[in-house]
Amino acid sequence: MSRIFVVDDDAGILDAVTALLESEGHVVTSSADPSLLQDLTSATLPDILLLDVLLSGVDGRDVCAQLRKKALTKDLPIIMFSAHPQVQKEDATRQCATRFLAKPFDITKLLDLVAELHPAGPL
Amino acid sequence: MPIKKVSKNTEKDASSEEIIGKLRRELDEARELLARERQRIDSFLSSEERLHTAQQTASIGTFEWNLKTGKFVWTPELEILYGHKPGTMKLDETWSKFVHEHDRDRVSKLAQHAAETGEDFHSEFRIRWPDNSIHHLSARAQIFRDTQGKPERMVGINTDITDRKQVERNLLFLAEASKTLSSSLDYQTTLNTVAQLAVPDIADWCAVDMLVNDQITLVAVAHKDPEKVSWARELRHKQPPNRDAPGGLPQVLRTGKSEFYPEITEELIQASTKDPKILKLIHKIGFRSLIIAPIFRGGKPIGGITFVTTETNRLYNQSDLAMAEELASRASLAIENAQLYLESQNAIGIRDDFISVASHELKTPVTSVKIFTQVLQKHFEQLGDHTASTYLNKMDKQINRLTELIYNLLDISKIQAGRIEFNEKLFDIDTLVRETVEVMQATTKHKLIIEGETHQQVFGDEDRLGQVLSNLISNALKYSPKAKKVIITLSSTEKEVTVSVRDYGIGISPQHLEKIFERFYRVFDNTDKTFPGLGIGLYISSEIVRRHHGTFHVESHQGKGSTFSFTLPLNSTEKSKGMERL
Repeated sequence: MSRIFVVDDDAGILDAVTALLESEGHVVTSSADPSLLQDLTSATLPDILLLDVLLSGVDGRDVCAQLRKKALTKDLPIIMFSAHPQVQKEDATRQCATRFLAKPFDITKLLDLVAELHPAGPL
Repeated sequence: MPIKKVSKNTEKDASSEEIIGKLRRELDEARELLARERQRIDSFLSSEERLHTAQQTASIGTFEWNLKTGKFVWTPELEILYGHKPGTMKLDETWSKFVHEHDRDRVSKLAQHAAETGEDFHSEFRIRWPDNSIHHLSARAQIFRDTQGKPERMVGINTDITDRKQVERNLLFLAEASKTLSSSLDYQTTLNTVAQLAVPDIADWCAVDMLVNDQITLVAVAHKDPEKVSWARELRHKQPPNRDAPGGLPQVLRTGKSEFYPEITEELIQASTKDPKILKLIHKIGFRSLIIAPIFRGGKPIGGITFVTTETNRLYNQSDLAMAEELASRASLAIENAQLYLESQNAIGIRDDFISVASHELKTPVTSVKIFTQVLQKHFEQLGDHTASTYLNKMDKQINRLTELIYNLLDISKIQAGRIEFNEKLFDIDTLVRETVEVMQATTKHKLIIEGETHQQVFGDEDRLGQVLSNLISNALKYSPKAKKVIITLSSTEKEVTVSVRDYGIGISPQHLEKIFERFYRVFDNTDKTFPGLGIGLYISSEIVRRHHGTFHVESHQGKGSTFSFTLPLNSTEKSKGMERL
């Protein structure tokens, strides 16, 4: 079991990813609002963050960079995903993401990544 | 004179009455004779008059030049041809001064040559009238020799050919202007060139006005003297066109009919303005003759081309008017074409934007549906419901197809907007082919066979080139439903590698072959039935290959199958240099 925080501005994606991860036994918190990430404490810190690159009005890459500046989230495993794979894969990973996923993604790929980044996670 | 003398034997032969009667008869005869003689003289005179009239009407003048004495004899009509009143022109050995300065040397030499050799003289040249206007003459002359056979006299005629020359000029100008008008879609530049072309052969001034935001705007003006162009602009500045003016351009814009002033009289000028400064400027410019022909768009007058003569004193006639109207109608057509082209480009831009936005928007819900499908599939597998699991698996495959279509649409809009980008590196082409074929093999009953190896590294975007190969293989499968195999061949030379995909399907007829790389083009089989797809795969593939500086080939025989190949260069340094962001 891993605690996973999902941030995406599309409710359809949030629903689907939450359903997928919960069906695998993970504990999921989801939000369309990335500013909630600023309020994370050591108690609420997830094991993995799933972050969309293009959020409404905010660039996920900036959100990621800010998290890296904080001691608490400096080493947090972050998977960024985007519908613009060609352009943003390199950008996102070079800047700060731990891994990158292109939308639409195969669920096995996402589940493999979760298992890789938080090995103690699965039930 | 045949008047008989009166006889002296009157007493013997007859009475006095008889004598008187005879005298009367003789007198009558004499009168009759006189009348006939007078008639003869009259008719001689009128035939000379007729000759003069004929010469005048035909604009022909004759001359005789005594080469020994240098003396000239000429008809009054010749003087008229040279713009003089009969009896006021003096013709002598300085005759060439009447010829236009640019033609003078040539004509003098020709006349000299004729006088020396006795050969016939024929030439066409311009002359300048005392009022400075330019006219065209044709001259023909014959040499008469003396008893020793030496050239003695030159006898010839001059004919006015100004009208013919002008028609020739007009036709030439129309032809050139039409070429210019069709050369570009930027009509403002084109109109400027047309105005320049009109000067000086057709007009001393040429201006083009267009309605821009419902304001009459001077878009082009030409005169051989740049200083005078600034006068025209000054005049326009001081006296902007009044849309309600009863004549001129505003009238043309109201009626769509030409305004034609063969001769601009002082009254016309005085009627045009009361402002002494403007009057002075108009006099300085010295308008003589003027035509304004309408330019149309969608049947409505939207501008006018103005031709003006000034210092050349040329007066426009009906054939000039016809030329101006023809030019204006060709300009209208050119402007209309430019407008339609712009509109079609805009429409294409809107369509491409729409495809881009729509395909982007489609991606998110498809992602969501795909995830739910896979979650459900897993769920039913765990429950042991194999039927539901199979259906969901099929559903997932259809979602993959949908995803691929969306990506193709996105690609096409990127290519169109020049925004496709490549993630380049050196990669093993054999491995790419093997992996792609493995993935494709899982989707088909056809046997996919790889022949050959290259052992080469290629510099480029591996994913995009894999996409090209996938596209070629999936086309091969789609268009060979009854075949059992597809052969993928790898080959290389020192400079390039080639990947070919051969199918044994329906093939492509020659009329389709040229078009299959066009966007949205789809092949139909011999029953006119088409195959599923948007007709964009080959277009995208050929664009990807082209931007890798490679080439695309196709060979096909109807009913036997097709071979599609792409060749990529191996010179990586040159290639990386040439990879432009397109």
